[in-house]
Amino acid sequence: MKFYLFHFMTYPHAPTNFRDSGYKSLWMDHPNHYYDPKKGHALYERYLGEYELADRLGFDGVVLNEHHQTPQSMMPAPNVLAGAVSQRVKSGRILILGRALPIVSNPFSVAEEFSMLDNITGGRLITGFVRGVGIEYHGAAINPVDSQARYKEAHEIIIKAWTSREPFSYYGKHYQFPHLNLFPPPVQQPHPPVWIPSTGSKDTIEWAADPSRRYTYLQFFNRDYEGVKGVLNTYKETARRYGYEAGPEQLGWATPIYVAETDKQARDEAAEHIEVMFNEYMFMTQEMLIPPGYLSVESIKAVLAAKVGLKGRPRTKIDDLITQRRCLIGSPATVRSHIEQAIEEIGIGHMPALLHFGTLPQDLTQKNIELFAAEVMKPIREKYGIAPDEIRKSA
Amino acid sequence: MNVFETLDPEMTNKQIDLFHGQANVARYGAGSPLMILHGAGGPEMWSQTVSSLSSCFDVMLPTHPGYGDDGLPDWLERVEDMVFHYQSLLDAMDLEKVHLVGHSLGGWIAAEIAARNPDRILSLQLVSPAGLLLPEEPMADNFLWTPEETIDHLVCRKEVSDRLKGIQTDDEAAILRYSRMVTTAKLVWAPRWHNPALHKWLHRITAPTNIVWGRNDSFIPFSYASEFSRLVQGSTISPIKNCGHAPMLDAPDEFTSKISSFAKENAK
Repeated sequence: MKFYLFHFMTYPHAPTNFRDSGYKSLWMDHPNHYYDPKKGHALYERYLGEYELADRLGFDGVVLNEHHQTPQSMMPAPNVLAGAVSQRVKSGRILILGRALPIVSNPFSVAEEFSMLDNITGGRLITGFVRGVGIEYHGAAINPVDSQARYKEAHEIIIKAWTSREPFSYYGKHYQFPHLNLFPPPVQQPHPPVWIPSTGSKDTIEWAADPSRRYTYLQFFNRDYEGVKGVLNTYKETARRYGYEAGPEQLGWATPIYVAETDKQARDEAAEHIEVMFNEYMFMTQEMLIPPGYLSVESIKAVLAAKVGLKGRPRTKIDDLITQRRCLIGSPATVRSHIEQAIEEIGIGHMPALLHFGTLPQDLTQKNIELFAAEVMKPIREKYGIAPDEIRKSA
Repeated sequence: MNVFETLDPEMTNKQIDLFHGQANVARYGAGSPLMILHGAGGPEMWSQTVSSLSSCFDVMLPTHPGYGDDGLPDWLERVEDMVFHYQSLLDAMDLEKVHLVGHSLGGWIAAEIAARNPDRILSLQLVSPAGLLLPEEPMADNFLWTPEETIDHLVCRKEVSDRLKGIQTDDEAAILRYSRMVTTAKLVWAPRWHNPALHKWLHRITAPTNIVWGRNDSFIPFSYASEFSRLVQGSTISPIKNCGHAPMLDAPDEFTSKISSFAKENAK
């Protein structure tokens, strides 16, 4: 079981009353004139400091991700940030979960960036590939109908670039390159690990679990605990159908976690900040989230059946998040018990913990990271005899 | 069940097999052949105009591939494929010459057909057609609209908008709407709603051309009418006051009258 600091690097000074001003979302729609570069710079310093803290406290790694045109995440270019992080996080792994493949015009450059990072960090990189949230297709002007096809081709190009020691060409439907010859090639062999972060699509599970890939599947916190268990069990069943047993190293659960001295204190300290993340910072309309073709017509039938309409979407409340275990919020004992249950019931092997969310201030974030390390991560490692990631030793 | 109107049951609907795929054509009336190419909203909103035209014309209203129940066919990837599809259909139906009327996406297809095969067109009517881009005045982003906002951009008259918003839709209608939007997205997402090369070749159109546009079009602005007119020699602009992007919904009587008159004036 490995523990990672997960972070969105939110710009927490966005106008949360955007609906009153007639805007549909803080993503893409709302003008960026409220941004203060002084605050932005200070935030990058603070957040990089939080990554450094996690590394010093013995986390197995830190996670970056990719989101565009939004204050929810100041990481539109995760590989750029990973360069900065690599100089601060010197022991643990650096995870990029994930790069949105279909929205790039040249996937070979993704292979190049990752390979550079793998070399700069001495083989500490873990990569991730995603299709991108639907709104990225509006922002990047890439056709959402081509999302799946572009993803598959981009993935092929990247793996080939990493593993080929001869120049090669690639002629697909969406990408054509006569000359591909990666320099430098990556450190890790046959290539850096690839994780597939997902919201729970069956097709994604099938693809990730394929014996030729066996990519680690990381379930996000759009589902409650029972949903996460269901999805990860589906991955294990899929592996069995393919003829092998999926190990814990292939199963991940990313979730917001807030630890405080008591359950009540944790709930009270986190409430405002986690609710503003779900309700304001992460909010977007149905049309932004699901541009036509991003989901197949078949999938839309399921979405319609779920009957979640724009007007009918209720505000997310912390007490529901706690009951459903979409987030783990409580005393160290409470949070430990939830994680232990996931280890024992599901057999998860990776837990990126979102220890900063929304507008959570610096002091509470630091407290959360320190308490998590000392009273959740450390005792669980001791209980199960887990050593930190071996790569930390060679750093 | 659909959002707008239902087609007249008198229209006979025929499936026609072509080398590359299938066409579905509703046909009504008698006289000189007149084909209507509908927009991304579907063929249903043309009922009244079809009825009116059928007294003098052999009216054909295909449902575009990708806009019926079968969804997006593999062969349909860009507007150019639609253009070849309709050229093939005209061949298969033995229509040497035809009056062509196109709306929005259908107008773009019609303009392309007329530029490539000028001799095939008896008269051309482009109703708020897509196909060109004026960078200083780009079209609105329809892919971000809710169903209600879509109606607000198609029509501007309150009584029409209220009526359309009042139509009950069910899951089946929502699925058809999404399926049609997938086809539309495939064809027009990028470059958005236009062919960057089209402006170079519209001068090849020789047929009498009528450019019909609602003055209050908040999707593709009325100013585009001048640009089309500038590029298509001898064309006329027929503006409709107090009218949005879908004149057949917003101002059906005036619209039908304009389409009808122009086609009759140029009937042979």
